[in-house]
Amino acid sequence: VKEENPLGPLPPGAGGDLLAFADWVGASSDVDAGAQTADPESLFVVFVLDRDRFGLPVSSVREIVRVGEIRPVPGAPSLIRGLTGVRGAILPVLELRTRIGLAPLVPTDRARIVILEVAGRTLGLLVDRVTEVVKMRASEIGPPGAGSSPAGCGIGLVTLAAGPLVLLDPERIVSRQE
Amino acid sequence: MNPSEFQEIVDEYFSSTREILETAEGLLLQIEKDESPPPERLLDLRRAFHTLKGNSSMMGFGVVADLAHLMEDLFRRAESGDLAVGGEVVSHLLAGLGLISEIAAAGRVPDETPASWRGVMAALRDVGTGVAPPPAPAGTAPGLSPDAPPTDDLKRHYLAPRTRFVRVSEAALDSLLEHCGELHVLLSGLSDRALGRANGSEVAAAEAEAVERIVASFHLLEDEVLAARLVPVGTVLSRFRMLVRDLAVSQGKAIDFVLSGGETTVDKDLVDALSEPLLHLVRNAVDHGIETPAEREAAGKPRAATITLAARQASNMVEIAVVDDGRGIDRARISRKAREKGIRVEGLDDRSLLDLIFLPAFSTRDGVTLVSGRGIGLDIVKANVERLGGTVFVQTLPGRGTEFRLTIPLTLALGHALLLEAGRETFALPTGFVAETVRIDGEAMGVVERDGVLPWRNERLPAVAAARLFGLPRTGREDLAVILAGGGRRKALLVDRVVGYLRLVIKPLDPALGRPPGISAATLLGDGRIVMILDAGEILESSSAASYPARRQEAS
Repeated sequence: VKEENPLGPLPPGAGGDLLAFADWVGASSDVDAGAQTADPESLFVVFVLDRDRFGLPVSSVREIVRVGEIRPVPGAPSLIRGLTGVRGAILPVLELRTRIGLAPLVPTDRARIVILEVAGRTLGLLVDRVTEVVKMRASEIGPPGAGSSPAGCGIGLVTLAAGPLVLLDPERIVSRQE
Repeated sequence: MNPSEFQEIVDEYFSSTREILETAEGLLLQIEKDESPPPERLLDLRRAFHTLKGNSSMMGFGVVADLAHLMEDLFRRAESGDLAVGGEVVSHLLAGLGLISEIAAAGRVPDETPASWRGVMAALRDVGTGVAPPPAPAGTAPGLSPDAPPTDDLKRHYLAPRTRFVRVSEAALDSLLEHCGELHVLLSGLSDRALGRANGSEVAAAEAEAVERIVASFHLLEDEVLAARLVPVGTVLSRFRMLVRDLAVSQGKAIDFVLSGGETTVDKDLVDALSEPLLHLVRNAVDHGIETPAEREAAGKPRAATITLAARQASNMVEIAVVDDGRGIDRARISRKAREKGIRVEGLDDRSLLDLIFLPAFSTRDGVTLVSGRGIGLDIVKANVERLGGTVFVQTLPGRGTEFRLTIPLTLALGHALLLEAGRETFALPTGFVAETVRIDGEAMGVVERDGVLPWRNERLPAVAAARLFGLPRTGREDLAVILAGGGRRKALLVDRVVGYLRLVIKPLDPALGRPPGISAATLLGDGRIVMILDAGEILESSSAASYPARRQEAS
């Protein structure tokens, strides 16, 4: 791994603009040219749960929003934090923390909901904070470590200067909830 | 062929019929202008009607096939030079097209040629053959004598605006509805805020009034958008005619199929969702409800049985009944089966005993042996109907027959609901199942607390506190009873208070939430709050003995 993020970490609170940022990263580099070679590059949104860092492919992230009211649903699976309203739509909010043995999040100012669009469905993922968008070559991604992958959702592991980054499969996150 | 494939074929038929109509009408109008139509144009038209005839016979729509045949025949005669296609022929053909386009617009085909078609069909058959066409029915061609001034009748007949139809994709209807949903929430927020300020000044009051007018006209718009999605249930119900016929033949039974209320409309999404539960019910009726002709004769019944599918609208719900005049459900068999499965039947009332047939345990493969108990697939029927916010009700008379009645909301997208408070939470309760609300006085409250029943009129209704159902803290102020009624049951739901009655957008729950007991969907209020919509059907049926969370733990 040569560089973790050529543009440096984002300022805190810039979560809402992360996707625009990712677009910019994509446009300003030769991601497409890379995709045609044997070693394609892709972009990942990096978020933190407690002290662990996880990445989700930018292609499945619709947007990143601040945490509004999350309404619990009596009788729903424990991994469902509740429902939240985003511009007229009601989205389920998943809590990944409980899956890796952490207590449910007490949201701070930095907490975000990462809105995933997977297989025609839209769901929110509650995270402690979103830190950056990184560009990764396929050759830099190793197999997921056994212990670091929440309930089999990990599809890859990258070791960065700041520590390990577990890349997650959004489809598995969504389907394992059921 | 499964029902959805069949539906696709029906849809495709009507859609291609509309295309043929458009082509044919365009060509005919061109011919009307030409002195002598070029032969290739005649050929095009003959092909169009030939295709229509073929499609219609394939679908079993003999009525349309017969008409298309007459029209095709005209062109055959024209090609061989027996007939000149001119003004008179074209006007008969256009009249024929008119009949078919009525059918295409309705989306269903009658079983028999309507009497009103006879004149047009006779004219198509006899034109140019020297046979005088039958006199036109009174009123079809009024005021045509030369020099007569145009009468109102004439104007009405020829200048009346024709209903025209345009094809719109389902995706477009869905996205219209989605935008309406967003606007609905935004407008109710705006309206709440405007009303809150209305006392402030004259300007604010005028603004609030303007907002109310916007909301009112938006509701009209929303109704139109919902109405555009309604389709007749006949499209689903009529496919069971062939199924019943084929099953009857293969089982050596004689069954008449009666369809009524096919013109009742429901949302297009509901029509599709209904086909599977109805398929189960119709199959069950044929397989298990209807006796053999010999058995029927021995029982003094007519050899031919009758299966009726009847639909009707009842306020904002639609009822669809599957009725057979077969042997009825044998309660003794249900009891026996239940005991085998370890279910206690002692002390169950008749309704609860009958409802056992909807349990998954009764729907296993060995349910086949439960011939007149008819459990097969009924758990699926019930689950599907409840997912649509509806109920299933069964009644049966031994030897006389059985009726399954599905009650579902007209639309899945929008509903009227009471906004309730219980356990410091707000819930929405669809009004389709609300019979009335009753304030519980001290004396009645005593009975509720002691026996768990509410004396209501001449009945004692099972009473359950909403807060208890959802494991919420009790406030001790649950002195309002909402009487729920549906699926042949009644129950009192105790709440703290009713905070409003509103029209709300129903948002289905994402599959990630599973099926939270007692909750059917969610909605977004104007202030951005999310409120759960209660599943009245499920609450009506659930035992009032345990709260939902407790039951969930038992189950897992």
